[in-house]
Amino acid sequence: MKILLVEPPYYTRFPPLGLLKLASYHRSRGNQVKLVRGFKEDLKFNPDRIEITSLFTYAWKPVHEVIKFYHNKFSSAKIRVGGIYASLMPRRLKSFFPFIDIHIGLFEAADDYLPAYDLLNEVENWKKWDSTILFTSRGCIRSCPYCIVPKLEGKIRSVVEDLERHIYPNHKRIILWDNNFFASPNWKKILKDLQNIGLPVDFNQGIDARLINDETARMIADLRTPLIRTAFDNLHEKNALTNAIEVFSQSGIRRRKIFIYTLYNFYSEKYHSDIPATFFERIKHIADLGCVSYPMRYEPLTSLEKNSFVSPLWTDYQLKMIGKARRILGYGGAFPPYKGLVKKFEKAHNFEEAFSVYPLKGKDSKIQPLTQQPKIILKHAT
Amino acid sequence: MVLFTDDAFGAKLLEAITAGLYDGNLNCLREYVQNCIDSNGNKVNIDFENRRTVLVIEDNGCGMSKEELAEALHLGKSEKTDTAIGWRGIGIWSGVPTCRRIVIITKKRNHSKIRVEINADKLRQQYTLNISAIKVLTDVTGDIEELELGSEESIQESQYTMVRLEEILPNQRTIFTEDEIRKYLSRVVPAPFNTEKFTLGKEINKRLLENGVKTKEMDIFFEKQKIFRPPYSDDIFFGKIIDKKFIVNGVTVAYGWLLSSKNNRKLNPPNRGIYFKKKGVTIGSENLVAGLHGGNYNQWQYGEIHIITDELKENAPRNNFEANNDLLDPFYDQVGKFVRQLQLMNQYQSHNIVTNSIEQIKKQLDVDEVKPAREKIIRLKKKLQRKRSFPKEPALQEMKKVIDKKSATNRTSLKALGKKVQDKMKEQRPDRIKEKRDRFTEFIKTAHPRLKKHLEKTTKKGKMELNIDAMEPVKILLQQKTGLTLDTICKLSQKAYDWKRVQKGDNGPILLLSGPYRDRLFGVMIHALHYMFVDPFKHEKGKLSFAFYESMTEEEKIDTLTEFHMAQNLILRLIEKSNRIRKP
Repeated sequence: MKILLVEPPYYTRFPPLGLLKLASYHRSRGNQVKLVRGFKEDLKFNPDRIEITSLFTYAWKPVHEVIKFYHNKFSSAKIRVGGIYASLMPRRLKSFFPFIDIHIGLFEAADDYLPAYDLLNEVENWKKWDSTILFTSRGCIRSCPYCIVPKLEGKIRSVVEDLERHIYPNHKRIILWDNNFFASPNWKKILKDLQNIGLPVDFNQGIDARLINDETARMIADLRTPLIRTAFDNLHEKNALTNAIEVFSQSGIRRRKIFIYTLYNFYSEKYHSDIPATFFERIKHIADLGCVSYPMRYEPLTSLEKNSFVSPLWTDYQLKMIGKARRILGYGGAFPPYKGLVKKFEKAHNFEEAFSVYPLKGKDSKIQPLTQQPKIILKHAT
Repeated sequence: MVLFTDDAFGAKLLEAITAGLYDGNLNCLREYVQNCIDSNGNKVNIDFENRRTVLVIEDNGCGMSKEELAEALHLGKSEKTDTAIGWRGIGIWSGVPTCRRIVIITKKRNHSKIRVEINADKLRQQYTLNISAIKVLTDVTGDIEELELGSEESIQESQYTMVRLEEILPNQRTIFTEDEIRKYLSRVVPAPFNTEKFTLGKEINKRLLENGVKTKEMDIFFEKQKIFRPPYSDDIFFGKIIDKKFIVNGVTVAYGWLLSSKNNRKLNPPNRGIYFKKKGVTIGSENLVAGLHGGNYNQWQYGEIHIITDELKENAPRNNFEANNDLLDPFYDQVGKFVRQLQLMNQYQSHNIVTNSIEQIKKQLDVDEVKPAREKIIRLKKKLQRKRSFPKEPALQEMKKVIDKKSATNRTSLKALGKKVQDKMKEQRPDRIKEKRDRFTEFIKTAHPRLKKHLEKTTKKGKMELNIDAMEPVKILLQQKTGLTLDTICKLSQKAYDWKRVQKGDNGPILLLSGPYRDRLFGVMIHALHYMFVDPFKHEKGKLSFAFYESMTEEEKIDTLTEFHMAQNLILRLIEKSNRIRKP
């Protein structure tokens, strides 16, 4: 059988891991596979089946377009769509394309296969790809309201035993996509294996600061890690974060190498939502610690348009201020602990002062920002 | 009482028949290719997939039905007849030590396409467990599942079997390389000769057929390139094919053909070695045959010994034959003796054929190393004069003619080279030296009569050398000029010229050339020349005054000699011109 694997042409920094595993799965059943990104007119391949992946819900348009395109081109081929968008909004997808099959969630049968990275050689975007992407565990111990993982993958479990055989020959880097690496029951063995293999390791999804102690920090410091990612999404993680940074620092990891994702614009009726003041406090604290903060704007799980959601506790203007500050004051969307920037945050009395690109003058300075008024963190439904 | 139940066979047995049996890990390739050949197809494709992490072996043979596949998975049972290569029924499991999964996909005509997966990872983990082998096999083997056909396949027509070794283990990746696999396949599987490069292959194929060797040669492709079996070249061998039949108790056990190297040196792999072959598949390595003769065997031959009789069966790992018959020992004995004869032939060849040395001599002559070339020729001539006996083995007698013929041509070319060397040596006596000698004799003609006389006397004897007489003409002239004895002259001149400090003495010079200062120098000059060359205390060879001279090349010696006599000539003329000024 001939199977065409399609990656819709949305923006992404990573090749379609799911499709690559699916490719190996199909090959193992004697099928011929071909991978394409976007629309390819001249394929020289007449598929019996077409498998299409999807990513974030707000990137739904390219998915719809490739379905249309390949359905027209190969009308007799059965089409199946999987991935995040398809898993989260299957009914929406089906209403547009009643003729397709939809796969929801993980395709467990293919999960253990070594991805067919060799297919990337034929895709212009991914020709130079040289990193092994790896889940050593699936799921997470947390159930953060803004995160899709618990819903898609469920409870944490280890999925890799012998790491070495999952590393693709000649790859130069390992990218871990574990949702919460140190919560995995097998983390110690995997970390030792990573040290033995000796390739640079990127904990791409970030490290849970609450699980960092002397031992974990030392073991991370022994790895070749380009940078450490962690998060500061809620103020009451402050102590855990401070502690983690101290421990990292003592293990010899430079503070500037630590990237801290900072969620903003999150709103939930049931859980802690954030407001500009608490966001500012977190950013300031990170600057004080000497680390890099990376603001992340909250997007609802089924958002169909990026950056369109505005929390009731934020104003559109405030959200735009952050965007502007990131572009003008920051570097690459992040706020590194530049001396001037740290000072600016230190001097600022409120959110507006901290993130305005120009010093506030006259009338503006007297405005009592909205964030100062309700000095509460909402916690509903109690 | 029932002694054996399913529980009687433990999991530990499984390791012995998978990992243990196929010692080198590439040997599983042989097992799978054999199955391909037995399936009566005409083509095997072996390909890597996903950057050498998966190896796929696919044939276009008859494929298997569900029942047949189930049967094929059984251990140690095989429906295959004697004409097939595989017959033990364990080959399918041979890939277990190499990969994570073995997948078999097969399609027989008018049957559905089916697939089974063996979890090799799990099987290896359970080797050591103390549980029933049946349980383990059941646990690691998936169900036989039916697969959907693609639009390009048909239920009636399509037939094939594909074995996939999936996710080859990291520790196997150094073995499962393109080079290693290609080398292995060409050595082991029944591939044809590449008759374009190895034209003798055609004749060998003919003889194999005539002698009853039946092999199913297959078109085997690895990474789209066709596999051929060695040798890959004609011109390293003598064109004569050696035939040898091995007959035990009237039964022809095997037929062998061999080619012998033209050059007196060990052949290089893959064009080296003598291999046992059964139904085209190699049994054991080149060392199996070489080792049957107890002594040393330099592998100057390439050859195949094809087992014809069915009574001689290969063992399961195919590294030797089963010993449970009366044929093996006498057969091995014959092969060992034959190898001994080959070694004797090699020695005969090494003695009578000197092509390599002749090539070396030619090279030496090209760069004008005449002397060593000449020595080598003398040595070789002596070597060729000694006679050596040729082995009595009838199969090799034709080779004696070939070697002797070659030896004869060697001798003629050696003669020609000898002449060339002589010519070169004549040529090489450099003209310059001759020129210089001529110039020297010219000089003698116009030299001071004293010197002329002296030199004519010495050169007549043929010795153009410096010796203790060299300053004789000066001494004689001084005696004549001053009318004094040599002793007195010495004492006087020592006093007069103060040879040690070159100061004016009380008695002044005895010969006057010009002003007093120059006269002193004049005296010193005579002395220096005398002292440098002919100090009687230092004239022995190797002593200081002569050492510099002895170490010179011939050309330099002539130069120095000429210059010395010219200087001496000048002194003679100066003495001649001087006046006797004082009587002692």
